[in-house]
Amino acid sequence: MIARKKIFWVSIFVVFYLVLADLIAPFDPIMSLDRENLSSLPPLTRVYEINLKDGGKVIAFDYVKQGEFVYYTQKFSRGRVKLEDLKNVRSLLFVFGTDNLGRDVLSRTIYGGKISLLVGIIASFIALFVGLIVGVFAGYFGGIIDKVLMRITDVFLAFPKLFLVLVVVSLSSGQTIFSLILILGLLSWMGIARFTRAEFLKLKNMEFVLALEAIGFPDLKIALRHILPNAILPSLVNMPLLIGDLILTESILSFIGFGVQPPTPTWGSMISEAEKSLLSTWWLPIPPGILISATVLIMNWASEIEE
Amino acid sequence: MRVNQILFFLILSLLLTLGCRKEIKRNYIVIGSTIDIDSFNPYLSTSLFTQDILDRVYLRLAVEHEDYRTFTPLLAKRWEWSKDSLQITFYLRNDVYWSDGVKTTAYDVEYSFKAAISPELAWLNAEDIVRNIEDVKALNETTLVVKYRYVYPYQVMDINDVWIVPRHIYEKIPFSEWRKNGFFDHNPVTNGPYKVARWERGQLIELVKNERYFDKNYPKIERVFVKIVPNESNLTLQFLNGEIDVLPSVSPSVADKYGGDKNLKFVKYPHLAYEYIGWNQKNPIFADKKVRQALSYGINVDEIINVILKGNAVRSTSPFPSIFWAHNEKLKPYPYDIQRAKKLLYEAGWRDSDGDGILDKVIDGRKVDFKFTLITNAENQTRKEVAVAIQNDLLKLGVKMEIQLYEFNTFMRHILDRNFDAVLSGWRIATKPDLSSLFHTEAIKSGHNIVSYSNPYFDKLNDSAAVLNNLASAKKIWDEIQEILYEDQPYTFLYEPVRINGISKRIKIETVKMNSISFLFNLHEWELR
Amino acid sequence: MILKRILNAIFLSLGISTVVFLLLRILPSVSFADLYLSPRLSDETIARIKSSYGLDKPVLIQFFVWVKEIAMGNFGFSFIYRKPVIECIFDAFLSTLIIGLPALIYSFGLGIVVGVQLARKKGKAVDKFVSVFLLILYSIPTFWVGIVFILIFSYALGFFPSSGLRSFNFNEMSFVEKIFDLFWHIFLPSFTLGIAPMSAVARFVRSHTLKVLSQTYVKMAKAKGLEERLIFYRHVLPNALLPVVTLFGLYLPVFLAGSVVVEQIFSIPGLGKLAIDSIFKRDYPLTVGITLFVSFIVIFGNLISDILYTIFDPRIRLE
Repeated sequence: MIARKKIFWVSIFVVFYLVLADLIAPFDPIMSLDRENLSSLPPLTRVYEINLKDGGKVIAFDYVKQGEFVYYTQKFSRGRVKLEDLKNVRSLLFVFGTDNLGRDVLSRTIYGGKISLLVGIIASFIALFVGLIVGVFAGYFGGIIDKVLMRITDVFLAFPKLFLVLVVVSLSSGQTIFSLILILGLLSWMGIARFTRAEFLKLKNMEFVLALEAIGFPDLKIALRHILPNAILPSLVNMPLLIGDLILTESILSFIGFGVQPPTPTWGSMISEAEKSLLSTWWLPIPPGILISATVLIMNWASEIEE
Repeated sequence: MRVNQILFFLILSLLLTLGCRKEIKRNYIVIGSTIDIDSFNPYLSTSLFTQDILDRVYLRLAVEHEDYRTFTPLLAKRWEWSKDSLQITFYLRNDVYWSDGVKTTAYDVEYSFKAAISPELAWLNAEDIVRNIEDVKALNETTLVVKYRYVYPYQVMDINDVWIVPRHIYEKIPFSEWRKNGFFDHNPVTNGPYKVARWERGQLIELVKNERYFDKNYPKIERVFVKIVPNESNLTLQFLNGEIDVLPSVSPSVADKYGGDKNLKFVKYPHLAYEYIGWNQKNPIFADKKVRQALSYGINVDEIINVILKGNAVRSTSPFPSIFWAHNEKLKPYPYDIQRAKKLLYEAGWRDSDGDGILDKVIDGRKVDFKFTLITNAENQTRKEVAVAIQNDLLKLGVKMEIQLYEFNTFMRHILDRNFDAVLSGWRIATKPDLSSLFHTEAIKSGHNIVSYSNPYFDKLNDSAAVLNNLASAKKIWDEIQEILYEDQPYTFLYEPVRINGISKRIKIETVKMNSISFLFNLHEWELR
Repeated sequence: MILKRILNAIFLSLGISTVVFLLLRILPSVSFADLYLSPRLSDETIARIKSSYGLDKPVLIQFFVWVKEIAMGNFGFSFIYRKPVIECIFDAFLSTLIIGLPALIYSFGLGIVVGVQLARKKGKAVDKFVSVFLLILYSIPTFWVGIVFILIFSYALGFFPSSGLRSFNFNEMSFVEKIFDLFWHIFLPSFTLGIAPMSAVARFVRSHTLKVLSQTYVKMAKAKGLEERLIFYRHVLPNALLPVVTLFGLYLPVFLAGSVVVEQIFSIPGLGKLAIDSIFKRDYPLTVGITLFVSFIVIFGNLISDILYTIFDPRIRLE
């Protein structure tokens, strides 16, 4: 498959994921059904939701019907309900277990993927936008503008990344999703700018352009119609690669402590939170870790050009 | 082909390396820590961990015990009060030497006092000493006279807080230059049971037996390493592995899971600290005490303790932790009572008039939703989880809370600028009861009254209690003060964390004493099996 | 002309450091935030401490003081460590290098070898399998890899230590033992650090080698009847490896400026960790000093790769 076709299919998949994520997630990723009982359950734990006619709910690990009552066991206690008050009993399975606050890891991973992907995609658009503008302007105008723009690019490249993160976070009154997206965008536009400029310059000197100039085509028209599309195309094709990289960067930022605010999950923040309790709840970092890797993998695959 | 040969050689040398690891019989112990100490000069240090270590190598006049009232002789053999109690004369031991052979004398203490009160040095714990102690004079090598400005309950405590440093070394540098000098961190001269063999910054500290220590029976363990591993999981891993013998702070879930391990023991003891939510009373939402009470009733703190802290905490009811003598034992923690919370909010004028599930009220002619932001610091995983739990609980009352994390420096900035709606934080309390810096009206502008709480009756009582010498009568007033705070709820007092330390069974547990003063309280007495 | 570029690099890093300097002072912060944990700290004490560090003067004055000191070769005095900034950076840099250089060597060395071999065996099962494997390696977050390695090789198997650069009894070891001890400690962190770059280099080399292989002059040489091996090593390889030089410039900061993540997990007191600590603790002189140093390395690294490119490819000339 050529790259464009791969990107098409990947985009379709991503859109589907973003739309359906909320529906696919079996449990609420933000609030737990029963914080106390469901805390830190290992993968493949089954619990029972005992529903009463008056709307009450009880979460239990086991239950047994005896005579007029249903007896159930919870984490720290046991109890019973009258059989006549019982509406039904639902069986719930936590495929990847739960975290410290009793939230389903699978649901959080699915939902977190939505956030991670959105953050990555929007940030990549920002990076693309800024990078393309800088690169094209530098390539088209040349001269002083080129030099100035390239110096600015160099500064951003050499600027200590962590510091940039800290500045943006502090100036934008805290760590919100927006500052996160902004940071990611600001950290990644430079490569695109440089590359686009190089492509622009290369194309500018190519034979067909010189030929067009000789015929008498106006400069701007040449630039827009012929050079521009070809200069931007490689960067567009590499977008999935960029998104993959940004998702990785987001996970690193979360690891250091600059991720999103709780209780919003992202893959990166889930892994970084899990890292601290690795020894007691080893299952926590696995689903997000696998999914980050898989997503980045797919993105990289989509950008590859087969020979 | 050449590539293959190179690879083979590399793997071979790798295996050789692994095989060459010798098993060394260990007669030393390793203490683990995520943070390094900041200096060997006690007057330049700001971290409590550093002070734990420094207390093993520097001797004080006396040993302070965990009731914060009892002192037993250490450098001072005994002390005598003057008739008017304005003076204490300390008689020092004659057989204490610094690690370079020079004798420790009363002149060292006199000099150290000068350092403690020096305005150019600006030691951060100087305030009480400057305020209460008039002068410290050495009459001869073993006699020290301390003059106080007035009689008060903490006279011995204050002079004992002065770190005793070697004058003959430290006086080489004027106080004003101390902060700009790395001099003190190389080969420190000390007089405790241990001395510093080496300090590799960020990696390890090696303490060895001080041959010159006056009590030849101690220390029992002659070599102690402090290993610095900034990554907490890695540190815990090494503890579980046996590479590290002592862990100063273990997360509750790890203690829970590995509690049954035969090679490890987890020691728990209460801490002189508490966690709280501070409600900014400059914000009209929190101005009414009924609202603050409602919020306290609406947070299920017991469940937070059970689930997040795995039971390793005690409910807090006042700014004096339960183990502190001034704590009012009669106060019972606010029960989790949603109905009562809702009723109080209703009485305070909050209704859900637009049916969106969030309470609202008309304040200054505008409809205001009960929405606010809780800030806390990003580095603390437990606080993050507690914040989320609180968010869930409050939603059930119709209160919408957002969480905002800040990196520590920025967090402190917000707190000091009173720039927040509500803050989730904690205090470690001083060993003397005094709530003025936290709740006094005058402390709103300059002090730590970050919630802008003001109650003139509290002010009056607090001022009167702080100057009483009779601790029994003071306690009565402190009790009343705590009742006021209990009623007013300027903070929602959450819990007092129990400190969990991990210790390997290599060390005879019966010789170990850990308490709220230090987890290494009697390190020199520890023995190996 | 090269001199001009070097001067350019110096000025650029000075410029960046200036920006960092000024921004640091503007950032919301509480100087010596740790102190405030004591609820009874008086404003007076804080004022005194600040003034002893020169932090009470207006920002512009502090700036000029800083410029003057730099001109005299004094790069400042760290608040936290009470040592000259140069010393702090030097010590940390050594630790970073000891992990970074081996990682650099193995990732580029192995990467090139693997990439080339894969290009030669294009299409075969080996190629497909290893390529996918490399892709997976590149996609897994580094810190995850590090944690997994520690769990497996350190905790479960006990082959390697999980932190630090040397053992307790390092000073008592013989010279040879010291070498082994060092190697034993740097293996895991170094290996972890180099995995992602290695796979990037391998994939890059593979695709670029294939591009060169498909070019006309190679096909011509084959048509002429030259031995395949000769064509490969004499003609294809030098041209294919050229752009690796650019990758070199790109990855240099990763290896030389220290990976914060790897250093954090393995407790290596390197430059990355130093930078983070200095920023979080608002140790201004140290932060600015590190910025100066690291930005210079980055710019210089790019310069070197540009120069190398010119040397190896006569078709390209620096503007």
